[in-house]
Amino acid sequence: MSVSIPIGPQHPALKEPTHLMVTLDGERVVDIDMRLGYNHRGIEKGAESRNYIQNIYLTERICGICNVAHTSTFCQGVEELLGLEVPKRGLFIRTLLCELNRIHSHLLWLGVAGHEVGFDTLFMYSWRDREIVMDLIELISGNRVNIGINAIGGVRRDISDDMRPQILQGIGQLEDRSQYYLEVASTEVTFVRRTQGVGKLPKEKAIELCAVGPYARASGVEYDLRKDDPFAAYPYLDFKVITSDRCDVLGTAIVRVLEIMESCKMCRQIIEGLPPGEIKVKAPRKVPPGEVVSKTEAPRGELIHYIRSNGSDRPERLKVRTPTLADIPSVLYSLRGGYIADIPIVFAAIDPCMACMDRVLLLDIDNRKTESMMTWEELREYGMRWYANRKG
Amino acid sequence: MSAESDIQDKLKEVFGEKISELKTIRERRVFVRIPLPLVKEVISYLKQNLGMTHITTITAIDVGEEIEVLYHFLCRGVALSLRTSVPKANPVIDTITPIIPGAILYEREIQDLLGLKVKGHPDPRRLVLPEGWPEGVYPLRKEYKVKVEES
Amino acid sequence: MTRIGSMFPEIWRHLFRKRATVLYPFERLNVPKGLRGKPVFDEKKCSLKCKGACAIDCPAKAIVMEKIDEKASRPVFLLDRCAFCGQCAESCPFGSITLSEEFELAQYDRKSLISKQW
Repeated sequence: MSVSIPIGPQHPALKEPTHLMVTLDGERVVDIDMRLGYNHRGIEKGAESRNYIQNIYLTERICGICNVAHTSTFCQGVEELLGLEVPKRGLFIRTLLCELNRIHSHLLWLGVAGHEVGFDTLFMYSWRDREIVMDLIELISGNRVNIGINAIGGVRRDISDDMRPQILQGIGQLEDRSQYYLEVASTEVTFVRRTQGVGKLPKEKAIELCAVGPYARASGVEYDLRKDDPFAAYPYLDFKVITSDRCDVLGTAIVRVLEIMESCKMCRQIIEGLPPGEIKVKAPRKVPPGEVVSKTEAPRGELIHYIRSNGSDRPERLKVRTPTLADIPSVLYSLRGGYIADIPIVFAAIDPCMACMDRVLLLDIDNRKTESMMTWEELREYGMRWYANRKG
Repeated sequence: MSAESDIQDKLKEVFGEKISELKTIRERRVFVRIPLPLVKEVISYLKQNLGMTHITTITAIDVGEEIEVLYHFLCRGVALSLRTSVPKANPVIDTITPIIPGAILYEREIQDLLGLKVKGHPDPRRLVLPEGWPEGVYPLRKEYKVKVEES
Repeated sequence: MTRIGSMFPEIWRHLFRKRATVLYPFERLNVPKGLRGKPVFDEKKCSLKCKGACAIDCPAKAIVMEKIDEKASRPVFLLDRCAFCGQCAESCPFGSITLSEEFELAQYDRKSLISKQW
């Protein structure tokens, strides 16, 4: 006899709202189904009524954790439509912030993964070390989240010479700490027992279901856009693509911690090899008609922006596909056959960012006559009527 | 011979006059237009002979009388985009999930937000819009206007 | 080789170290120079005639132009909508807007966040 239980949209185990309908046989998960769309905000439609400069800030707010990737992809696409060539120093600074953002995102993931398995000590210590990265980002760009460093044609702020010692010191501290976390993740028995052999995704299934990012790299799929389709300053840097053939959640943890160490090496190369020159070229406001496919490697995987322009200063169509959406079929496949207690950690292994994934919410005043849209007052009255009817 | 010119030559050789607007914009970006009935045949050919393993996304744009659908694939390191058009009065396309199972959520998204009917989809439910959303109202079409509230 | 309690040495060491948190608002952390805080408007530099280059590019619609007479208008900053991105400072052709380092802007009432700086 099978039982269906809903998990979410409000649930302590989930960090962002999503609805999972789990069909169980005892404690084993037989089938799982997912509903998305709770964070849908209307960004693709909203981008059509804003000009390109306003759209940089709109795309930045798609996600708080991978915001540099979104603005870099968008600005890169518009620069290609305009035929602009960004000066080398601007590309290097853009790449430095992409890598600092990646370190920050992976440290955040490490804390969240520790929290999902009940290892709160790891959560607290890794988020304390995340403050080192946040301070560096605040020093370079002026804000901790919603960085706003990218502009069409380059970057907006420069790195002065008195920032360099602090940046290099911060990177050194991060390298030591990530070495320590690698040891903890692979030797601490409470963490290993809950992540080893859990959420298995074989390599053929990962390729068939088109998984991306560190989740696919932990199953042995060697797909990293920084090497396969280089953008920004990556052609000038020397780094390795980290893969693992463990195919489980412990593999994703190890891949992410090793990626922090690779990112630290890349940041050091950028700071020591920063070329002199301009950081930005002037960009016209109107973009000639055309279309562009712009892809980058966000902390969670492959991110694509498709922009079509029509000659005015507003885009005709902006399409965003974030990496979390690409990983959903794979994670639903790997949850079947597991235990219900493993659902939070397996779901957290793709590093889900529901804010990135949903993206569209409709603000419309016209259709308020439908039942789905209610004002706060209507909702209160509805609630009071419901309870009154139940009693009477 | 680079991957882009190899892909272009093979497509021209096999499909000849039926495809059009085949162009390489820069390295690793190729665009091609194919007629609607040939979509599944071209995609199967790409998978079997040109080493296509990965679909990035499916984009749909409202261009007035028609809806243009773009399939973005990854083919030996090149981002190949296949373009096709459906008339807005009868927007029906076939599903490609038997060939690429990873396209399942992207087809649900264009069905939900633009009203394209995907024939044969294994799971044709709504993806992002809420349950009580009225039928026949498609937010990403041009006729759907967003009113801004000034406070 | 797995063992239990691999974080114990680190936790023991931290018992004798200074705390990582500060008791705000009694102790304050130093903010770096160049923090993007409240926008400051210098009326002497503003041309009053450009029809609002700052307002056109604001992504949050946080600048509203107030008419003085037929041709001139000045910006009013709605700080409850402002995202502190600094685009207004870049778009202004005369450099009349700069972002200061003031970030403690909380108020009880939305109306007290309408900033007219002249």
